[in-house]
Amino acid sequence: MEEFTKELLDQLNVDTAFTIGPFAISESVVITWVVMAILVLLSAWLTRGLKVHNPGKKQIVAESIVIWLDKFTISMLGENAKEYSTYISTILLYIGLANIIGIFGMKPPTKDMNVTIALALMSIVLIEVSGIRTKGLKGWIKSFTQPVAVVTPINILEIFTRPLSLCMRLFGNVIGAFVIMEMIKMVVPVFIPTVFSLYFDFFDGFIQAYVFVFLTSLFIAEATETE
Amino acid sequence: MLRIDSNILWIIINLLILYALMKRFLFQPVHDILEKRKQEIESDFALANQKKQEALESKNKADQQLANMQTICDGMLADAKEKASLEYEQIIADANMKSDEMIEQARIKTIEAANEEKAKAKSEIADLINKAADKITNTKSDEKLYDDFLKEMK
Repeated sequence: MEEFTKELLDQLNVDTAFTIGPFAISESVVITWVVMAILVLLSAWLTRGLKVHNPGKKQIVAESIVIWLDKFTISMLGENAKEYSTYISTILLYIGLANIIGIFGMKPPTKDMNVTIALALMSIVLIEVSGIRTKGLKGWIKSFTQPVAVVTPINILEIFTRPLSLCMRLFGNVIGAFVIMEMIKMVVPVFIPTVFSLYFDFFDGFIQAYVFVFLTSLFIAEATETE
Repeated sequence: MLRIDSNILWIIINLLILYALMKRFLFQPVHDILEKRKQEIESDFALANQKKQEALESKNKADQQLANMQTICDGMLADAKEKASLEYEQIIADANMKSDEMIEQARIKTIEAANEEKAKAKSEIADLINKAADKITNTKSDEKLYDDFLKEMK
């Protein structure tokens, strides 16, 4: 049991891939590059030689993906905030691929709290910026006192609790799934891990990606809401 | 085990780069193509609508012309009918007149012929009477001859 705990801690530890001067570049950053490379190369390959008439199979796939992502994200964001749909789609693709990259033998970057903190920070900045852009600075500040002035402290608190919950939810789910998978692998090394991996790596990975972008979109939709 | 450090910044930079690249390589090109296709479809629709409008206009024009022609045609037909009926009446009147004339002539001719016949019959009857008178006279002399003869025989 001691050994297992040590091994698990080892697995959970975020290694430093290499250091540049004072900066220790972690493994998760390197794996993020891999995820980025996969997404960008795949996109570039899919969208090569686009035509208005008689699109090829590749183009149809690219168009279907983009149309689906647009529809999916705009349905959550609402008409007021549809300009953010590309960002939301990108984050969805990134978290989705990052969560399932474990099946290719890499550590999911979302298992590193730095990644989930970064994502949550970007989300809260986007949420508040979208609010300011839609309502103006005055309107944005005024929106903290709505619907009644009493809730103002809670609304201000939400600026911190929202990203915190986003960050912790994603981190906790991925790490929880990872720990459970490690334990299952230790108890039954054959077949059973495959079945559970389908749930924890694929299903839960996508669910968490969906939950993250869903909540971010919901907050943006709320922030850009106009009466 | 948990470490929170400068990697947050690297991840944020990475994600921003990923956003820019995805926009550049996936979303922008596909959106452009979709927009182009939409515009083409819209312009095609506009063109089709315009053609439809034009067709409708020319149809209306043709209908108008057809109606005009119908009116002209009706007018001409009515004129022709009127003329024909006038002519018909004229012809009938002429014919009536002619037939009256012919009947009159025939009547006159008949009367003339009857008169002629009458005259002929008259002369014939007179002849017959003369002849009969002659015969009667002749017969009387025969009787006298007989009488004379008988008287002589006695």
